[in-house]
Amino acid sequence: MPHPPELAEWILGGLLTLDMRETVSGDLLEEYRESRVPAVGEFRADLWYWRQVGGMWLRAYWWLVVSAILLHVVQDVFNTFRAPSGASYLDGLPTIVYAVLSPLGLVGLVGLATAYGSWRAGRWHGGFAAALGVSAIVWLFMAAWRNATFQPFTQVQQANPYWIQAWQSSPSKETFQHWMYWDDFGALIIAGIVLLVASFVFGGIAALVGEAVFPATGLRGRRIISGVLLGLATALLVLIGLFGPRAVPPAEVALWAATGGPPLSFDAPHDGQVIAHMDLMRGLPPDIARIHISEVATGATVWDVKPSPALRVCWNGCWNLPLSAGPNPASFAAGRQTFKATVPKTPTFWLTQGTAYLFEVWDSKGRVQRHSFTL
Amino acid sequence: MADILGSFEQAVLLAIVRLESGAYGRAILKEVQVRLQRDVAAGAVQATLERLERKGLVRSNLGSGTPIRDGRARRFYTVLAEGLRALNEARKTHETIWRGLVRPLKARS
Repeated sequence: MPHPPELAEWILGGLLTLDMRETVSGDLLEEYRESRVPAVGEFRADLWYWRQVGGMWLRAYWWLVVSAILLHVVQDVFNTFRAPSGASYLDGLPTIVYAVLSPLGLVGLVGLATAYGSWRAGRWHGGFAAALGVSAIVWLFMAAWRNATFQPFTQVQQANPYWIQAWQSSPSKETFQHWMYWDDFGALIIAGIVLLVASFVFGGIAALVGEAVFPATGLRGRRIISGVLLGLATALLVLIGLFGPRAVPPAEVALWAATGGPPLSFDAPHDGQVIAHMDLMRGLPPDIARIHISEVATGATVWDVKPSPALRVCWNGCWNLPLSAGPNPASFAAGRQTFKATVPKTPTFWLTQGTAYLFEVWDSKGRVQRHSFTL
Repeated sequence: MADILGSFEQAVLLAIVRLESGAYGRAILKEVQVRLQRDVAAGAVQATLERLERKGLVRSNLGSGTPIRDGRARRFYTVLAEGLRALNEARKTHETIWRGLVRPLKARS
């Protein structure tokens, strides 16, 4: 007879309450063997089984996952957005709230997950299934969150004396963004290790408590414990709701995450001048490998520049390239980058009013954006 | 007055009524899927059954296992009088809300 994945069965065993374990796992096994495997084959039946277990896990622990994710978002936002002195905006809060909103709060939440999981299942591995699941989901969220918010958050940090000083006092001579990226990366790895260790340490302790104490608790005791745990989670959500407006709107972050390639937009020309914007959300630096201007009518190259070295830095708040009728500098410095012209060889290139030009910009991956303009 | 039942709760309760003495977890899941004409997660049905039992609308008792379940016991459900009353009330409320309207509703041109 076919058998569902052993790991999924093991997780299910640590997930279901004592009185439901045998009957619910039996129902799933019966459905798996009698309906799913004959209908769709063993592989897809396995996927179905995993989906059922995943769904049951989320039904049991969603409030812990949501709390942990929101807690991390609040922590990261308040770590990023600081007073110019470096002081946290949370500094004035009561110690207990400050402690909950610190990284300690996240570790505490993992402890809560293990206690709740082992009590709920009344089994030694119930706490592990809860804590490891919460830790894994939160860590994956952390990775996605840091990736999505890296550029907008770095822009904010780049303007804060506290972060600039931290960057300058670091031993490496990298750009601010590069330094910040590796700092974030290191923090992510450390967070993963801390969550994993916390899961095992708390899991071990809470599993023992879960086996020894909680199964002896009566129905009323269980309800009281549930109430306290849910109350704590609700209080956490309310706190986060109060601080929500300070967070970066997720829509902006999503927009940045979804956009790829060198960004390019032009202002309407006025007074013989036009400004090419090559940044996102007026604050995120582009990844530029080449800029090329040619005449639309003849195709003749008017200007061709490449940067050295290849960096993503903000310049001219952030990347606004003015182009004027008449002479324009052929080479220029943008932050720590120097753009040197291969065409023309003279110090300036000339744009004529009324002539249509094609502006092209490439990123380091070879993606190109084009825009026509007339001065 | 009994709690107002959600539509999924009604579907689960009616599945138990229809299945009579054969109302155990998997059979209820299949019956709900057939009636709602969509795939339903086993966890959703299980959570609803636990909630209905806590509300005192159904009761359960353990039955024997079968070889295909590796001998694991089945939990059979029965709708209690309070459950039937809640179902009748839900039906009455539903009909009262719809009374006087011609079904299906059509948009005014």
